[in-house]
Amino acid sequence: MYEDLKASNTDLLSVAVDLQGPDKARPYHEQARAEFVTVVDQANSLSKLFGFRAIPNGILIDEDGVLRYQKYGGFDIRKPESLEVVQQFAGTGNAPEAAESGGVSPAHEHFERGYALYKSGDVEGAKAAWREGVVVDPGNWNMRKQLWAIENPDRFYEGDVDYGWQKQQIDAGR
Amino acid sequence: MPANFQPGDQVPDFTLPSLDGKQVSLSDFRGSKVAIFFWGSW
Repeated sequence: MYEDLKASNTDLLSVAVDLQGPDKARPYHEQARAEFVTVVDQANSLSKLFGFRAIPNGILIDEDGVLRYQKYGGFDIRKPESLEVVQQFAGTGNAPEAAESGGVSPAHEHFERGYALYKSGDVEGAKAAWREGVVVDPGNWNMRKQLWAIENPDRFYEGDVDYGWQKQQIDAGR
Repeated sequence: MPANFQPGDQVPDFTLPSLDGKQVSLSDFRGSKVAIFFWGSW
């Protein structure tokens, strides 16, 4: 599917944002019969480096390591409009102007504090830190939804992700 | 809120582990264009 990109000297790098680690990300990578490398960002470090609070995102970087495009939210390589941006960049080196709507979350430190607790085995302490963070920044969907996934694994990891349930959580302000 | 970089900025290097346990750095792709996409299982 992506051979034409490789022919244009363009590589794909897939980043799974998942504090629960590779075991959660691997099934999705394999389901996509992925022809690209997937790395796992457990600490959500690139959210801080680039400045974003939600996914799916796309970033295009040229041969010299220079940023050419960034779109935070609504960039999905499986969708034709996103793939087209990548194909255009691969073929011409040009990328459209994009509304980036980025920014580091004001609650990123809550995420980091919770993640440190989570890694140490204090899952309840982690959840408390993240819950505080969601109050500070409800728009930090990365933290908010990863918290949901830990609290409600049956809605995420048994069959398909239950997006109807997610909408109910949003409507209920959780 | 602006993102941390704008088009034209040099992106700092970063390294993350791949699903097959290798360390992958942005600098590994130098000399190629690279499209990075972020997703979650959630």
